[in-house]
Parts: sequence; C-alpha cells; structure tokens
Amino acid sequence: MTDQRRPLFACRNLRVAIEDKQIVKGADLEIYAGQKHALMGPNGSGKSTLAAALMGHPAYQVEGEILLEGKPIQELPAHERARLGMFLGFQYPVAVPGVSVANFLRAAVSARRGEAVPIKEFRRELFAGFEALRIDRSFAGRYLNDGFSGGEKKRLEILQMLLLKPSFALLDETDSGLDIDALKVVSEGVNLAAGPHNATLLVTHYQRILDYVKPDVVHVFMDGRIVRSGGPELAVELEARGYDWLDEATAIEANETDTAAVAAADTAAKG
Amino acid sequence: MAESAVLSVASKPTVSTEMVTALSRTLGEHPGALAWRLRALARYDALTLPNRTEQRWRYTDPLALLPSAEALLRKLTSAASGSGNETAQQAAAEWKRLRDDEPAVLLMPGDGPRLNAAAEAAGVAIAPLWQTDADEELIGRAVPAAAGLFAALNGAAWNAGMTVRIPAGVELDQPLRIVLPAAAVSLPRLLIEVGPQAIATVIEEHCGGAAESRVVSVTELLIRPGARLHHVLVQRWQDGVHGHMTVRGRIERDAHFSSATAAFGGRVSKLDLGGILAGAGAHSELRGVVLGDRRQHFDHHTLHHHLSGNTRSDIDFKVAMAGRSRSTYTGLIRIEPDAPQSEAYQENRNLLLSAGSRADSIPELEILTDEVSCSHGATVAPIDPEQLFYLGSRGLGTDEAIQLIVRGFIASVMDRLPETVQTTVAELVSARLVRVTGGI
Amino acid sequence: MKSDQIDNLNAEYQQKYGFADPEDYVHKAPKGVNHEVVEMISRYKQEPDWMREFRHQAFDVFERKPMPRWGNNELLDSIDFDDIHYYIRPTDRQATDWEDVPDNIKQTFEKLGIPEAEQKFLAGVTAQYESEVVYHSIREDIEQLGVIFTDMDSGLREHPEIVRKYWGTVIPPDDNKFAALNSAVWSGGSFIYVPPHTKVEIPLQAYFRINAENMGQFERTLIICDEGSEVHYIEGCTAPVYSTNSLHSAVVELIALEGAHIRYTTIQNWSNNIFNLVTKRAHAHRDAVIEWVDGNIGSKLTMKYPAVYLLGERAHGEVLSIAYAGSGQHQDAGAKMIHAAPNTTSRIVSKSISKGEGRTSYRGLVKITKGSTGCKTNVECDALLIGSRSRSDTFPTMEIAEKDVRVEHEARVSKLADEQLFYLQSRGIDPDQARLMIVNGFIEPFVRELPMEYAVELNRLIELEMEGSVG
Repeated sequence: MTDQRRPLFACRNLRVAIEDKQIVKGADLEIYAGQKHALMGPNGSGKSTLAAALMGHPAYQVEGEILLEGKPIQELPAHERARLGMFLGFQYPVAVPGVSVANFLRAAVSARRGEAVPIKEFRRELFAGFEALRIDRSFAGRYLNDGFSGGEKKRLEILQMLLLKPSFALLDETDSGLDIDALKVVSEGVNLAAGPHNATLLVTHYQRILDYVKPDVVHVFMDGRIVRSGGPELAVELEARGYDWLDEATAIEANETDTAAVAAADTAAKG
Repeated sequence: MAESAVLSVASKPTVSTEMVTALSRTLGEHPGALAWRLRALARYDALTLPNRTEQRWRYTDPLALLPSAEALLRKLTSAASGSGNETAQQAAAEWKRLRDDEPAVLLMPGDGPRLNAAAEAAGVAIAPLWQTDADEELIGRAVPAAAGLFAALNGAAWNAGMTVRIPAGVELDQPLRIVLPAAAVSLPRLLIEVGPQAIATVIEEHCGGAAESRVVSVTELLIRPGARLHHVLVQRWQDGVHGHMTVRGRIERDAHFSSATAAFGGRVSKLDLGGILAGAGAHSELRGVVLGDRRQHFDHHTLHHHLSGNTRSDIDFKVAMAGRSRSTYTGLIRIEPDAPQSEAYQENRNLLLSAGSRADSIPELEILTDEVSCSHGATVAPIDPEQLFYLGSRGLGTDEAIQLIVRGFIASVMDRLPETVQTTVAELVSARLVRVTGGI
Repeated sequence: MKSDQIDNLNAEYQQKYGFADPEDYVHKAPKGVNHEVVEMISRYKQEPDWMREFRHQAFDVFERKPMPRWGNNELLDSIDFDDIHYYIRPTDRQATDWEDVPDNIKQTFEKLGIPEAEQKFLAGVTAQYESEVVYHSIREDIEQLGVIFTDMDSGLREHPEIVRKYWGTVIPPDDNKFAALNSAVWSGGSFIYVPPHTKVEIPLQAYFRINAENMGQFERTLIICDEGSEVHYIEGCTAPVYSTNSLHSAVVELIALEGAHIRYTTIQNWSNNIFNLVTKRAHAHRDAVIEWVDGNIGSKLTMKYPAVYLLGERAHGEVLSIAYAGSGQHQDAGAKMIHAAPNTTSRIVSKSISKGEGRTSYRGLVKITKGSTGCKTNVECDALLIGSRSRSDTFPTMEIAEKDVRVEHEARVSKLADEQLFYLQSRGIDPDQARLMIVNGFIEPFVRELPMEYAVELNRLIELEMEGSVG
C-alpha cells in the first residue's frame, strides 16, 4: 500500500515561463491515491501550459517542485516521467505519419513496463482496450493520430491511458470537442482506469464531463494561479455563474475559507 | 502591331574607360562615382556571358538582352554631350499623361524630378545619383557590381541615376512614383533608402520604348531597421523592348519589404528580384502577376536569401500565358547555417490559356540549417473546362468567363497591392485581358 | 564534420558489411584507363566487333566530355581517374551452385544473406563481385516461361540479336561523361528479357559487391519486358570501408513495350568511400508502367536521377525514392519524367533525411512536350533535417510546352518536430527511439513498397545510421 500521509502527486510553488513570459505564477497541488481532482479555468488561464510543464515539455522554464510518489521529478525528461507512471492526455494529440498505432503503443507499453511485451499478449490487451472504448480494430494499423477526427484522437488518448496504467493521469481538455456519446465513452474509460492506487487530474473548461466523472476536489485556475479549491459543488457553481464572479479579491478570501473543505475531502480520501 | 523577332547582339558590347569617364563628368558626378564606375567596368570586362547551362540562364539568351556596342556608344556619348536626348521628350510625354491629382511624383530622367508639397514637407530628398559623397556609403549595398554581368554593365555605365532618401520615422501616405521610359538604350539606376521606422510606397514604372530598345536597370532598396517599404514594379513596355531589370531589397532588423510586380509588356523581359533578409525580424514578401501573349518571353527570377535568423519570407507568383508567349519562373530560397528560426514559403502558379503558350517553373530550396519551416509549390494547368462550363451556364460568354477566371487567379496578388496603385494596375490588367482573350 | 561521428558510423558499417576479403584474383588490370585497357577488356571477353568498336567510340566521348558542372563540383573533382582499377576478374568461371563459388567469396555473400534469401523468396539471383558475375541462377519454372535472366556478358554471347537491337538505345554513350565511361569499360550487370504476356510473380535479384581498394565497378543492365509482361528486379550493393575512394558507375536501360510493367528496386548501401554515379533510364511504350523504387543510404556522393521517357499513350511512370545522408555524405538524387505522348501520367515522391552534417539534394525534371495533351504529373518532395548543420536542397525543373495538362509540384523542408518528439516521450519512449520512430514513419510510404524482407533490412539500416543520433 502507498503511504497514506504522502500525496501521490504534488507540486509546490510551481512557476512556468515560456520565452520569459510567466504563464503559471505559483501553483500548489496535492493529490492522494484514490482521488480525482478537476482543474477548471477560463480559456487562456494557463491550464494547458501547467499540464505540459508537469509532463516535462522542454519548451518551458519551470521553477518549483514536482513530486510523484514523493520523488522529485522536475529535472526528469518526459519519457522518464512517463516510465515512472505519469500520463498526459493531450488536448491536441500530434500526428506522427507513418507510425502505426499498434507499433507505437507496443513500444510505449514496453517502455513503461521496462521489458518488451510479447506480441500476443500485447494484442490481447490492445483489443480488450479497443472493445472497452468501442474503437474499431482497424485503428491498430492506422498512423498515429494521422487524419483522425477529434473524437478518434481523444479515444486513442484514453486507450493509451488504459494500456499504460499510469499511477497519475493528467487529462488536458480530454472532453473538449466531443459529442455526448464520445464523452460517455471517454468518461467510462477514465472511471475504468481510476482505482484506489492511482489518481487523476482532469483539466477542463466545462463542467460537462464532471457529470460523468465525479471529482473529489475542484480547483479553479485563473491567471496562472489556483484561486479557489473546493468540493464538487464548486464545479456546479462555476457552471451556473461562469468565472467572472471569481475576481481576485474574493478568490483569495475563498481560498482561505475553503481550505477546510479541501482538508475534509483529503481526509475522506485517506480514510 | 506586328510581332517582332528576337534580335540578339553577337557579343557582349565593349565599354571603354574613356566613355565612362566622359559620362561621369557630363553628369556632374562626385569624383568618387567615377572610381566606383571604373571598378564596375573592370568587373564587366572580366565577366564572361552567363553560362546557358545555369538554371537562371537556361531559358533566356543574355545576348538578347544586351545593347549593341554601337547603340551603347551612341547612347553614352549623347548623354555625355547632353544633347539629342530622346528620353527627355518621352519623359515629358509621360509626365503629361499622368493625372493631375497624381500624388508625390518623381520623374526621371528628362525635365527634372519633382516632388509634391507633402513629400517635400516630410523631408523626402531626391537627387541625381552620386552628386555628393553621401551615396558612397549606400551604392552597391544591395546590388554590388560583382553580382553579375548586367549589374556590372549598369554599374559602369548607368546614364540616369537617382537617389531617394526617406528620413527616419516619416510615414508617407502617398506613393512615390518613378517613371522610367525606355529609350534606344536605357541604363537607369535607382537607389532608395527608407530610414529607420519610416513607411513608404514606391512605384517603379517601366514604360515606353520601341522595337530596338534595350533596358538594363538596377534598383537598390535599403530598408533600415523597423522600416516598411511597399515596392511596386510595373512593366508596361511597348511590344519590341528587350530588358533586364535587377531589383534587390536589403531588409534590416524588424524591417518589412513588400514587393509586387506586374509585368505585361516588352518582347523579352527578364527580372531578377530579391530580398536579402539581413536582420532578425526582417520580413519579405514578393508577389507577381505576369500576363503574356503573342510571342512575348518573360523570365522572372526571385531570390530570398535568409542571412539572419528569425526572418520570414513569402512568394506568390501568378503567371498567365496566352498566344505563343512563354514564361520561365525560377525562384531560390536560401537559408544560411546562421539563420535558424526562419520561415520561407514560395508558390508559383501558371495558367496556360492557349495551345502555343508554355511555362517553365523551377522553384529551388537550399536549406543549410534545421530550425526552419520551408515549403514551396508550383502548378501548371489550363483553365478548368468545368469552370468555363459553369460560368457559361450562368450566361457568361467564353471571353468574359476567361477574363473572370484569370482575375480570380491573380486576385491573391492584386488584393495585396497598395490601394493607391490598384486602379492603375487593374486598368492594365483589363487592357491586357481584352487583348489576350481576343488573341486566344 | 565530427570525425568521431564518422568513425562510429563506419565502425557500425564495418561490422555488418565493411569486411574485406584477401584478394586472390584471376586478373586485375593495372590502374588507369585508356584505349589499351578498353581493348584488353573487350578481348578478354571475346566480344563481337560491334561491341569492341562501341567501347572505343564511347571512350573517345568520355575523354571529350567535360565533368558535369551543376552538382557537387568539389567532390566530383576529387575523383582521380588514374587511380582506379577498371577491370578485375575474381574467378575463372561463373558458378550456378553456391558450392562452386570460391570459399572466401561465398562467405562474403553468405554474410550478406544472399543464398538464404534466394531460397526463400527469389526467382533468380546474380551476384557480382568486382567486375564479374560470380554466381548466377534462375528458378527452373521461370526459365521454362521463356524468361531470360543472365549476366550481361552471357546475354551478349547468347542472345546477340536482342542485345544488339536495344543496346544503348535508351542511354547513348554521349548522354554524359559517366555513361560514356561505363560504355567503354562496362563489365557484368544483368540482362533480362521477358517474353510477351508473361508475369514473373516473384522478384529477380542482383547483388553487387566491391571488395578491392580503388576499384571501379561498371556494370551494365538491360531489361526488356515484352508486350503485356511484368517483372520486378531488385538490386543491392555494399563494399568494404577503405580510406581511399572507389567508383561505381552503372548504366541501366529498361524497355517496357506495350502494356508491360517493370518495377526496379534499388537498395544502395555502399560504404562511405564510394562515388556512386549512375545513369538509369527507361522507355515506356503505350500503356506501359515503369516504377523506380530507389533507396540511397550509403556512398560518399551519389548522383542518380532515374528517368522515364513516356513514349506511348497512357504510359505511366513512377519514382519513389528515399535518401539518407549522414555526415560526410551527399545524396544528390532525383527523378526525370519526359512526357512525349498524350495522356501519359507520372508521379514522383521523394523523401530525404539529412543528419549531422549530411546533405541531400533533390534534382528533378518534369517535361511535357508540345502535343502531349491530357498529361498529369505530380511531384512531392519531403525533406527532414536532423541537426543544425544538416543541409537540404530542392532543385526541381518543370518545362511545360502543352496547355492541356496538369502539373503539380510540392516540397517541404522541416526539422524533426519537437512536438512529435514530446508526444512520444510522454508515452515513455526515449528520445533516440522516438527519433528513429519518427524517421521510420517518415519513410514508411517507401518501405511499404518493398518486399517484406527488404523492408525489414532497410529499417535496420536506418536504425544503424540513427544510433546515438545527436539532434
């Protein structure tokens, strides 16, 4: 069992800049095993930058600390973070023409497990994943994200998450651009992957996906900072009122008063 | 008008030191000019004719573009003696042709360049080339005499030169219009400096001429840091003219060079057009419309030379050929090893309107570093019969439909012309389209 | 260029292909070339007079012709024609059974996997070592179809009427300096004739090996595919790594008669001390199809532009090529399509990878003659750059003298994309493997066209070249 008092994932005073422009201005997160968190915020607030920086995108200058199972990982390149159990579901998965989904995934799964996965076993897992996400088997031979529709790309991201079995999954706007059926499939995938020993952070603009994936904690991210954290009801409020009411003054105040709610949620998760 | 045959000279015309010396004295140039001319002459003497196996000369005979030694001698001595200058008369005629409301107008050569009040008030300075030693700093920066045979010939023997200086920070609302009428032999040279942060539009208009006319022009554009220059080259020579034009913009840090070429006239017309991206943040766009018919021969070469990183360049050249006309487009993008983060695009589309027309396209890339984004595309095709049918089904006659389609084809270039010249160029396009559709 | 990089690369190649055998030759001509050497080669081969005269005339052309001046002049000028052996006969007879091939040579081809491949999936094999074909075989069932597949010298002896009819008709000696040299001193190569309406379902293969130092290999291949027939020919090439240069200068002529289909696949993996200056051209008659599948991985300088002359209506030509240039290599490759008949079509797909200080150039020509209405042609060039000192050039030429045609050309040059790298890395794939994956994906459209065994081999070659890849 994991250490109950130690968060599975944490970042402390994280600041992220690109080309000397400060995007994330100090973010703190603590996510425990078994938890699902949602990070919500308006467009342009820096959510995607935060997600990419947590995964180790080389274009960003990062200061502060990132801890995965207590181990500092901020100096590690992306592939080592992935091998340690971190996963980023991309908002815009990039196409790699000529590389088939099957070949790519087998290489990735082998890298994650530290040994080559036998082809037979891999195919069994792959097809089980396809079935769970209602993906056609012909996907295996298609080129990675090349010519995929938005929905297809997102399903493939979730499929990768199921196969790679991350301990901490970070999903960047995985719900955007999906019709309601695709959204259900993706949500089922997220719920399927979630368990007592791993954690998920959903980065999202809309509350919609939270109807299907119930977060334990909701954070509001604005202008490079987490301005407010609370329980699931915060998401509902955001849906009803938008982000504008959370101007900076109330946000700071709220941040303090809601610490209790966060603590309560944390206790629940540990219990 | 009768179609003229291509008249080529037998060899490179000789130019003597005496001719150049007399020319420089008569034009009242600063002594430095003569020394520079003589260095160019030495270059000219040393250079052989361009090799026809080189891509840039494979399709056009350099001998068809050079004046004969006799015509050149006649021209240079007449300029030197200051008499019998038929250009002056032509220039005067052009001058009258221009509308009264024509904004800031310069005219050369002939009865003296003029500026309108607004341009004068803004501090724009014009002068014959190299009357003061200030020009020494500028001449040859964009087109050195060593650049090639034609640059060397012009460098040794330009017979009408003009410097235009637009001071730092000045924004000219109206374009400067420079009219260059072709004489029997014309060797005009323009040197235009756009000062830091200044914004200007310059129209360079090549016109006039006759069957025997030969033009070898050089235009140097120095675009200082943060400046923006819109350069419009209109070539509307009479039918028989043979000419070689060199235009180079040297684009410094954060400066912007936007060039538009509209070529319609002449018998054999070759343009060597380029942007040298010499400072970070420099941006160059070259656009062109070429409309040919009868037995016209067009040869357009573009160069985008990225010397500095973080630079951008764009080329859009549209060519429509009718009758038995022929177009060659060659374009080179070169990105040096020390110019990372550069972006370069190039597009050349050719429309063949008649069975006898032809188009060659050679878009070249030389990319010497990896941090770049670079692509080019070229097409050659006739008018789509489906388009003609569609327009026909809406009641348009074939001529009308073709005119419409060609207008659509060149729209991407026409739309980017500065407003002040759109009408002029559109009129030339219309006139040519009427002639072209009549001649298909 | 970083010498340690080259050392590494050469070391890898050395292990797999770069071994050299001790020389134990029947005949080795002294260095240099002149009419005497030409005469010696022809007499040695006991050729008919017309061929002997053809050689001498071609030699005059070679001496007269200047070096091409439009390519990499510096490298071309470093070729010392006087420092090359123009003819080496390694054995005294050609074997049809591997057991009859001298041991050291047999071992060479065994290391290269040729006998094994022959058993598994080839219809016929010729193996050329230096100037001569040392092993040759064709499957009986193919032979019974009337298909002729021999080395070129035997072809000339045994089928003089066919050879003389087509010899030099596609590439005359005065085409270029190196075609002239080949015409003067040629030896070896393949001769194939496929009778009308015959489909050779499995590939025929030739393997070319240079072993000696300062060697010139000048094989000559002539393939005639008669009406409605089909053949796939594959060639591969390797050489040991020496500090001095060798020259490979082949001439390949293909003739596809009405409705015939020839596919010609090359995996060129010469060591990095070989000048590979090859002239390849095909004539495609009515409804014929020519496909050049051309992979250039090795050599110091390659200059090769497989051409198709589309001479009959509805003929189709394709060139699908990849080029890989590491430090110290220049791959100057491309394609030519000459549309000389109506309704002919062509397609060129070129992919190149420049790594380290490597340089790739695409040089192409698409020409449509007057009266060739209804032609369609499409050219796509894609260049991938890996390393800030890598270089890529694109020199396409389109000469269009006919209105009712459709000509399209597109080219892109890009760096290996950081975003792709990050995506793959975020899935746990390390940067070297990710780069290799992207490169393999980049050339996949080419690899797809290869028989499986070659696809595997090519991917392995690329892996070898990409190892320890410095971005």
